[in-house]
Amino acid sequence: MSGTVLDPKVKTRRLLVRLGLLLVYVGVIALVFTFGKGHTLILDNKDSDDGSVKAIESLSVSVDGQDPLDLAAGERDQAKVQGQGHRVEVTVKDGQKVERRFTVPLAEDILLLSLPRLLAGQPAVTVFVPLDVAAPAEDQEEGNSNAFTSPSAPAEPAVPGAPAKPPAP
Amino acid sequence: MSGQRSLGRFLRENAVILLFLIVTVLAIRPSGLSLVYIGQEMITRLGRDSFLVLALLLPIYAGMGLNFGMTLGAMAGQFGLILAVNYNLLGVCGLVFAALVSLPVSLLMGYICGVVLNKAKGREMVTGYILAFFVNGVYQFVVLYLMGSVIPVRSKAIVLSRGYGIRNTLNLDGVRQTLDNLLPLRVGPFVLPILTFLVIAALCVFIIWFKKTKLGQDMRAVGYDMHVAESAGVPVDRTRIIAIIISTVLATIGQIIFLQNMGNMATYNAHDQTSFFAVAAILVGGASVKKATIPNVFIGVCLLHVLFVVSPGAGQKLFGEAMIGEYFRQFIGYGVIALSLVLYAWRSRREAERLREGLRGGAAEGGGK
Repeated sequence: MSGTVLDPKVKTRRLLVRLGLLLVYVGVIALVFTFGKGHTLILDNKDSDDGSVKAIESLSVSVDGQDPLDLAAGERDQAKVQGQGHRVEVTVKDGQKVERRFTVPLAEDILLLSLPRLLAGQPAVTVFVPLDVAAPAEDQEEGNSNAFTSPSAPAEPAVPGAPAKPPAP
Repeated sequence: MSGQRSLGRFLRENAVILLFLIVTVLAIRPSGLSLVYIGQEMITRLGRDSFLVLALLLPIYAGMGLNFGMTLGAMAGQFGLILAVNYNLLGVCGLVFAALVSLPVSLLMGYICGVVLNKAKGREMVTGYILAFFVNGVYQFVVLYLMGSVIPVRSKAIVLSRGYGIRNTLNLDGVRQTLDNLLPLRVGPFVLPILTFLVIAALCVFIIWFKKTKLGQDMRAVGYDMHVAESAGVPVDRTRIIAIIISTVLATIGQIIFLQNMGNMATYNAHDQTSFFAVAAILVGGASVKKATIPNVFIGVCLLHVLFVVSPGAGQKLFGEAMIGEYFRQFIGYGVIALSLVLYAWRSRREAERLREGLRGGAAEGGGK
């Protein structure tokens, strides 16, 4: 089996096929990443910073067919979305329904969707930069402290932040 | 006489499963739980655990015993899930991403495990168990020190406050029960996670098909007798490595299915008892170190988990302490493994003695003639 010498052409073809399969594999990962990427949309019903667009007194907004959210002027709410292309349906107080489609940048996790700007036909999606809030003090030292004792030993946290117990089967 | 002998043989061969059945039936009433609740829990746990337990089958066919090294695959699956949470990937796409990313890691882990187990022929189980401890250290080093420092981590929510290392518990809200809830079917009071069951059924079909292939037949030949298989031209070491690689990859996917059902992940501990409970389940189902079938998997998962569901309630009622039931789980898990191994050793010895006696008898008869 190992003694057989392969034709260089076969070798090259085999290498190319393997490279092709690797590319397909990476491509599938990229595809799944693009379709599965989650974003948090901050639905904003406030006056724009430059004052050119005013907040709407009362509206109801639904993103990608999710349950509608009611927003009064000056209010914000959030919706979780998956993928890049989205459809937003805004119902204004007088019953007027507006549907718009928009895309979100792949790399950003949190985006702000200004509904007044959306209704005014202006670019409405901007990257939302949250305030840098200190993370809660939790689990400073971790890891499996009982790794060299019995695996059945209960993981009693001797100090705050000791490892969590495994989930019950 | 022969009826008595066959009854005795049946009892001996099914001692574990019968013992378990009796304990489970006795514990149901004091637990105070309704049969509908127990049934729903059993359905949920069948979906959650069956894939992991099925991952044990191929190494048993290959004569490598119970693959305690499946923990390596579980760790690879968790690594994939950490990345999915890090990039905020949701739904089934998140699960597929986790599986695809962890696949190369689990292939490598399976290969390493296979090579090590080939060096320890005859002592695969204990070697796999210890190997899992060793790789656990590597996993902790990667997740605790490299992630966030060497491996970039985007999500601040999963990083420890010191700036590197992943938090003890990860919230898997983005992928929580997405596989189970994608195609639910309500049958009377029960909700069946059809898609999860379809994935498990596909694996069963794969295993049945695989057994009929050349490689599957080679595996069974190796499991039956390594030396005979070697003489027949079967590449024994390679076949054993492939069995372990497939088992490790299946364990990776199984752990992802398990954790998506749980909805959260104890980053440093979730894999600790993966192999332990999977092994306990398959043994409860009537399998042994040398022989296991697909029905053993499902019977075992049902029985073990029914007992897990009812034991806290039964413990509370009988001893006034729910924790007794929790300890009972551990006791039952280890107890079943120990009992099965002892019974297996006892049966092997009896079989050897019987063969020896047969040979002596045969020799005496032959000599007499």
